[in-house]
Amino acid sequence: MIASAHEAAVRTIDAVETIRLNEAESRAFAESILAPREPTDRLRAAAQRYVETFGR
Amino acid sequence: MRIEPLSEHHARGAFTSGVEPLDRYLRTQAGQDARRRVAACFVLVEDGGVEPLGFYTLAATSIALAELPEALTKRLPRYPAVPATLMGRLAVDGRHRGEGLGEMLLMDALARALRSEIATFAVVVDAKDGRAAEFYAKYDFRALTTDGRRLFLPMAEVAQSFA
Repeated sequence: MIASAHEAAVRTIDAVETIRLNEAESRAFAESILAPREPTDRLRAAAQRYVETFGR
Repeated sequence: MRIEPLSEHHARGAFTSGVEPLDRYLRTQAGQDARRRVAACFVLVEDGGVEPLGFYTLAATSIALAELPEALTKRLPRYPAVPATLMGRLAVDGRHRGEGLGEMLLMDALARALRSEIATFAVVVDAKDGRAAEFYAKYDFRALTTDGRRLFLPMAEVAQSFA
């Protein structure tokens, strides 16, 4: 019972999980969001294969 | 093949990815998490099949940023907490390795995050080891945290790759 109560508590925290980044991580993340790169051919090809298999 | 939300009719008992916590999660926890809206679970099945060949989970998360220069933060869509989509688990049954199913599941997760009515700015994945991290890096994911355990892909790049 104690184990399952603990698991339940952990899961509740997991559900509203916040990922905290340090300064360097925050800067890198923010810059990526503001200046997205062109997807590589590999990613585009994977997305294309998916769309061909499953539709959009 | 189909990828659909996990439901009661899926036969999960034989699922073996080789990672015990993931197998146990699918068998015993995924349904409950879905009902409680903790995480949504999607399974890949053959047409007409009920045995999952693979699965992934999606949950909402929030990325809390440290203090940054205002020149940067004022351009961000949200600050200091950026909403993101977390794909916390991804597994393929060992009998179906090398068939590209992991890629299909990942692409399905990206497509689903992209068309979700809840706007998020990145997809975040958990990589349990170096091999998993390499898998995600093949699809443009980069390190979110310095320990390399979590990676992310900006939603703008997801949109571009499906455009």
